[in-house]
Amino acid sequence: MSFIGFALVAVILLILDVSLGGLLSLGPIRPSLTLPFVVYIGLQRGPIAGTLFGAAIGLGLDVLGALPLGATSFAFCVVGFACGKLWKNENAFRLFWPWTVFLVLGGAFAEAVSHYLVARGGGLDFMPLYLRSGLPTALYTATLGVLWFLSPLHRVRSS
Amino acid sequence: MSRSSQPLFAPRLDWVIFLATVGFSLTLLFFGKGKAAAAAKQEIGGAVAYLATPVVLVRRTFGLWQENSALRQQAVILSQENGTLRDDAIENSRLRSMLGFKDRFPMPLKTASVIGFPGAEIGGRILLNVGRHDGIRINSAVLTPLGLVGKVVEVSEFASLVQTLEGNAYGVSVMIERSRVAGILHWVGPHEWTIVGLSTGEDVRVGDLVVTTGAGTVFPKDVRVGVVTKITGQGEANIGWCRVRPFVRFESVEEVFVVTPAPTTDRGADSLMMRETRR
Repeated sequence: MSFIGFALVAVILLILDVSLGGLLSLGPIRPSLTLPFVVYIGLQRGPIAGTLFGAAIGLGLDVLGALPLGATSFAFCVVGFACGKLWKNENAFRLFWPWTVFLVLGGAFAEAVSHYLVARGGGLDFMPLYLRSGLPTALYTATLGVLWFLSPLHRVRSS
Repeated sequence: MSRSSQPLFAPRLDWVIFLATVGFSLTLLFFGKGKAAAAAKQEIGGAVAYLATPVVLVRRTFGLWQENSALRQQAVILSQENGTLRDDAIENSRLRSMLGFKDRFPMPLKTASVIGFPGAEIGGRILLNVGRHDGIRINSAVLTPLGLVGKVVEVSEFASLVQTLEGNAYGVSVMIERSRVAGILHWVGPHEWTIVGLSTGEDVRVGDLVVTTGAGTVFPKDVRVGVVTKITGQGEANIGWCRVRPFVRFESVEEVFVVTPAPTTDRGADSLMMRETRR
């Protein structure tokens, strides 16, 4: 997929996340539709693409979301960069490694950043909040990512 | 000893881009709270709200059945309440005229559709399809027939962002309807609220209705907020010793009412800012 193709998918995911993401909520747990895409770009296209797409998508979410400008952008660019840096593209792209592992770790990190800011803003303890909402959200996001990997939408599996 | 052909401080493009992007994000995080950033955020939010409008139709279709069922139940309850309220209204009117009270100021309401749930659920924000053009201002209260939703925190021309009670950093002045004991509603975690400021021994019971007091200029008086679900032992007033569950399910709300400021009144932070601007 070309750069423009990725950018188009990013915009569509952003709009779907904002408008339809609430449908997937399980109580206080709402998965991110954009984080798996950032992880995917990082793993498939390397650290530079992961960083830039992560920062751009995160900035889009910040502009629309509840968090301060720059928070999600920071978290997503770190996730995108780490995915690209820690995994070499020439290795086999499998369900558990790297896909699920990076999704869970990336989600856990991004949720830690957002929950830390929310906890700090609301004067709450970070850890109970993170354990109740952040980690389950990361796992839910990873589950959706796994479902996507197993679905026909994902073509990389055959490569 | 052989020397590496690569210089010790060779620029690594990926690291340079990464550090620059992290620097940019952190700069925004710590210093991006100015007017320009807020204005850009509002305008982009409005544009995306416009783009997302067709997608919302899909979401609404999913919610129709559930909403219909809930509304039927609500209609039965409301019809029962209606008879009681009619009697109370007549009595109230008579008492008011006797005591010389003025009628309460009517609340102009604007109907709005929820067109987005931006950000994480923990953030608790919803995007509405009405904005400055429709008379919406910052700090306008947002309600549904079931109860209080939150208040408007950002407004663009045709869209507005609402901070619901979920994840809120502001307190809402509330009271127990039965005993008239007042406190501040405070979010303490996902789907969990408490009332701080209640002294030990105050008359609060499980099942008590919680309504707004009308203190301050944001939320009107007597708007239903939720119900007391748990008494956790009467401890310190500043951490709250009861749990409250709001009536509104913030993650699935679709239609809301926004209290728009009356033309003659000039209240709230936004109005204040407008006055300052005019000067």
